Parts: sequence; structure tokens; C-alpha cells
Amino acid sequence: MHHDIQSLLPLTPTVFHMLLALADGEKHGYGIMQAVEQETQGQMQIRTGSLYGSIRRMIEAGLIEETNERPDPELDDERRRYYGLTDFGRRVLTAEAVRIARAMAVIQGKHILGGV
Amino acid sequence: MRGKLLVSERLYGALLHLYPKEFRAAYGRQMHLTFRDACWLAYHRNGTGGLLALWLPTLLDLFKSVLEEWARQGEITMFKERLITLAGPLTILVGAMWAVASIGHFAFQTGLARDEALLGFIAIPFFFSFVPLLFALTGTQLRFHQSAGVLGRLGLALSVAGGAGVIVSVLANILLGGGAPEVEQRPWVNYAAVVCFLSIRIGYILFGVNALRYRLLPRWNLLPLLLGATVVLSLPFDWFGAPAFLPSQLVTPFLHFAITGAFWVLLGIALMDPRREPQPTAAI
Repeated sequence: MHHDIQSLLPLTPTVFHMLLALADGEKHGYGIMQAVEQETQGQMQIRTGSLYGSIRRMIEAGLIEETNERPDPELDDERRRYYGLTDFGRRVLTAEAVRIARAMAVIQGKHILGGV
Repeated sequence: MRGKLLVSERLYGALLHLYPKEFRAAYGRQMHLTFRDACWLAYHRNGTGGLLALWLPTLLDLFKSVLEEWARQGEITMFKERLITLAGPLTILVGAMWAVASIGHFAFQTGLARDEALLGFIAIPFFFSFVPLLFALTGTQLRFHQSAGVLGRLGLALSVAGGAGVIVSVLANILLGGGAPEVEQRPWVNYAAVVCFLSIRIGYILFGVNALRYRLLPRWNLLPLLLGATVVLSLPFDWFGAPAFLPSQLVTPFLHFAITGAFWVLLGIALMDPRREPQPTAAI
């Protein structure tokens, strides 16, 4: 498990968007896929194989964990596993967001976006 | 609707066996559930087209992540070695399956058998032969990738892509038919299957030229070229429901399967030769 946040930065786009998807609550695998697609306006689509490979790596890195939270079985398939951010994962996400915000400030200062 | 979704789910469930056992035990069930949801949504939004549009990137992603998971376990080298070692026996198996198909055609052609069941007897080994063939082609490609020249590498890549393409096209046809192939109604899938089917041996023509020039095989270096040349014997027939390119009465299906099957067997024997080290100067 990693404890040095800086060594994990910058995050890959997949890990960043998966952490972002989990920032507002636990989700199952398909929920993560859908959230990433919606939050990137369809620009990023994670397929099932890559999704669970990333989930495994993120659990090993201590960024996310399997949660015990289960919705009402009548509302959802009880066989699904839910995943949530760990404290460490939330701190890594914050550090990455700060890094992106700093880069954004430079972008704005240099008027890279122009009229966009 | 239900049939297509069930076929999709089952196919994906079977493909999950490509992952290492440990990964499959940890995430297989979750992946299955996730793919089921994705299928349902894709079908609900765009029908069969949506299902196919989901399958194509899913297959590519699956093969990529399978390799990643094997590599992570440090077993990718072993996996490659196993494929290379198995290339010979699997090529022989393909030849044997085509020989069975040729016997079926012979019986049908000579009137020894007129039973409808015989058509299945002919078709089953032929269709299923593409699974061992893909592994055999991949093993051959891995074995000669370093030693072959540009032309040889191109040929090997073309043959592997052709083998994979045939399987994907057949799967696509099954999906489109909801479990019962409706070959005549899907011309674009049929043409794709035929092009891939012919590509396997066109690839072998390219590789064969290279094998002859650089003496890549331990023995019988003319074989890949001869095997590739059998593509000509395929042209008079309608494969996968697509019409024949060059209709002709000279070549019978029996002849096609018997000759090509024999070349597959001989090539497998050549690949099994223990003198495996390729010529180091070949790549230059």
C-alpha cells in the first residue's frame, strides 16, 4: 500500500475519473462505468476488463476499498460489490485536484483557452 | 431480445476463463454482472447494433486486460512459451479437423451418405477448427516474430488477424441471429468472414516467401508457401454464406479440405521439430 501521495501523481485519467466517480458515494462496478461516462460527457468509456483491472490495482494501492454498505436487496442485485474511497484515496484525489487547479491557473494566465 | 442478451452473457462468461484463475475468482462474477448490465443498456438504447457496438471494443479491451493480468502474475513469458510449444500440435489438430471435414465431403460427394446430419458432421469440425487455429497462428507468430523479415512479420500478423476475424465474424453472426445463425441475411458479416478466412492463407504466402528465403523453419521451409497457395482451392466455394469468388467444377470441397488439411498436418510436424532456434541473420 502506498503512503506517499506525491509518488502517485499525476494520476492516470482512468484512475482520476474513477476516484472522482466515487467521491460522492459508494458505487458498484457498473455504476462507476456510467458515472465516468457521464462526467466526461462520453469522452471516456471504461470497459469491463479495464475497469476491474483498475479496481484491483486501486484496492492494492489503498485508494479504494470494498464497502459493507448494501442497498435494499429488493432495489439492487445483492451479489454486486460496492466500492468506496478510503481516506488515503480521498487525499490523493484532493492532491490531484490541486495539481490540476494549479495547471488550470497557468492555462488561464497564458490565455491558452482564448475565447473558449 | 432475451435470446441475444443471453448469448452475449454466456459468451462473455466463457471468455472470462482466459483470465488467470486468481483474478477470475476475485472479480469474475462482478465482471459478468457488469457486462450483463452494459448489454441490457446497449440493447435497450440501440438494439442489435448497440449490442454489436458494445462487443467489439469489449473484445479488444478483454484481450488487453487478459494479457495485463497474466503479465502481472509474471506468467506472461510462460504463457508465450506454452503457446509457442503448442503451435505445432494445434496445427496438426486443425489439419485433422479439416481431414474429418474432407471425409464428410467425400461421403456426401460419392453418395455414400445422404443424411442431413452429415452436413453437421462436415460443418462442426470446420467451424470449431478456428479456435485451435487462432492459438496455433498466435504461437507461430510469437515464435517467428523476431527472426522473420518485414514481409514474414506482416504475413504472420495478417494470418493471426484473419483467424481472430473469422471467430469474431462467426460470433457476430450468432449474436445477430440470437443464437441461431442466419447466414444468408447478413451479407456484410459473411463477406467479413470470407475476407478473414482467405487472409489466413494469404498471410502464409507472405510468411512462406520469407521462410524460404531465410530458412526460418527447422525443416520443410516450402510448406508455409504451399499452405498459403491452397487459398486458390478456396475460391470456387461459397464460404460463410457469401457467394464464391471463382466458381469452378475442377476443385471439389473434398479436395480442398484434404489438401489443405494435409498441409496443416505437415506444417504442424515441421513446427514440432526440436531444432527450434531460428536463424539469427534472418531479420537483417
